[in-house]
Amino acid sequence: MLEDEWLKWKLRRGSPEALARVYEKYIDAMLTLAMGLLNHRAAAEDAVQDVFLSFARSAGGLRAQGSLRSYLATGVLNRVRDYHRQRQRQATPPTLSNEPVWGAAGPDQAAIVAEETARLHQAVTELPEEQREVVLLRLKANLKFRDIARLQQTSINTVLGRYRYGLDRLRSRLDGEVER
Amino acid sequence: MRSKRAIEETIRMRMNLTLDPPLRNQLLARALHEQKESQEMESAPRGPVIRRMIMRSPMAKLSVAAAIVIAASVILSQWGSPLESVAWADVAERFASVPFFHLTMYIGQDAPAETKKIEIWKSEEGRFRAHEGDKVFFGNLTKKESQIVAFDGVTKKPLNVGGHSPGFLTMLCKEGQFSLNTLTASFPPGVKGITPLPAADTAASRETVLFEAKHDTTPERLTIWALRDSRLPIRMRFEDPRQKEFGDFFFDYSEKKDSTFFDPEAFAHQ
Repeated sequence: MLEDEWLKWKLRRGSPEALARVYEKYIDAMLTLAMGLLNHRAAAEDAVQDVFLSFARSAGGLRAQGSLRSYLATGVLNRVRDYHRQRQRQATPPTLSNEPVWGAAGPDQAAIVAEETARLHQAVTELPEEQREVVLLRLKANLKFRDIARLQQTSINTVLGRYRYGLDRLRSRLDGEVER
Repeated sequence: MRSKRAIEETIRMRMNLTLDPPLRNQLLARALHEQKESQEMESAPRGPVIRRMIMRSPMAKLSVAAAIVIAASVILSQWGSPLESVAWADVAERFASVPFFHLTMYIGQDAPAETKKIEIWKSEEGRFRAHEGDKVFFGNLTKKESQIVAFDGVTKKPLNVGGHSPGFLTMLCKEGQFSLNTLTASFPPGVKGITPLPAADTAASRETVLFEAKHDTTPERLTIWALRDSRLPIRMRFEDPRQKEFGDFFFDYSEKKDSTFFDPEAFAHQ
């Protein structure tokens, strides 16, 4: 937070170093969030690209309160919602990516970890959209529940409920597969 | 049966992607380009517009002429002044040698509710402690790979600072030294050349010396107050009237904190 305050201040002064620092600090987290919400690598990269370019353009007049992470995560979420709306208008079913995109797929990674990660990803993908948003915004973007409630335009209790149900579903899904 | 906490940890630790290096570099380059372009668009018209206004209006011409005459007379009145001149380099050098200090920063925009207060203390050993809201940060910047640790100031519980080291404090420091030039370098590239302001021989000016730097094309301005005798800075103020934005930095050298004040372990067990 302290660093973010400083970065925001420097960004308003037009510092390219501050922009590069924000980019390095958050690009991967935002890509992970976008991928979790979209399950489509190319669309996730496009969303993140849009968010950072728009951020760079408006950084001089930045008035964000709170952390940059939550500011950028809000941008990602808005892009994701635009993407879903656009696909609905085009009446195209969402294209799910079959690529093994999660985790480092290098040869040094244990197969069991890769498999577990893939199952986790699949389980997250299958959550209802609102629960998936809450789980990912909370765990991958560190957003506070009250901020998520504002983004979802609902009460904090509803958000807490969605989070609890989301985790329960993930647990039963992952444990169920282990037992099988 | 795994716990909810285990699921949370798995999502936090396992679901991580990285952008491929070529795309990563390409996107950063584009973002920096966008930032530069938007800055240029914002500042470019200002100079000519002001100049055009002055040249068109006879009243504005007269006002500018009057301002030049007043400024010249102030400067001339200093000719042969008994006040010894102080260079900015003397202040920066003196500050680099202070063993400890306390800096209070207020950073804000128009409404008071939006003003942030950040405090930083530096110890003789190069350790730092910073407060922002209810968060407390500790760091040791004399170490090469310095880690910053954070706590909730009320519960004393450790906070995750995101593993981003070295973080805010090291942006202000170079090789373990808090440098005024590093601080002023964070102002816009157009704000250059910190120069002493001429001052009449008054009680205040015998005690303090003022420095100022202005932006080439925007109304942004930096003012620094330093003690004339000790050459120590006591206040820096940055202003951007366009956005009613300011940064006010107050330096204090009067209170030396003991070593436990900078010790995160001691803080956590208080």
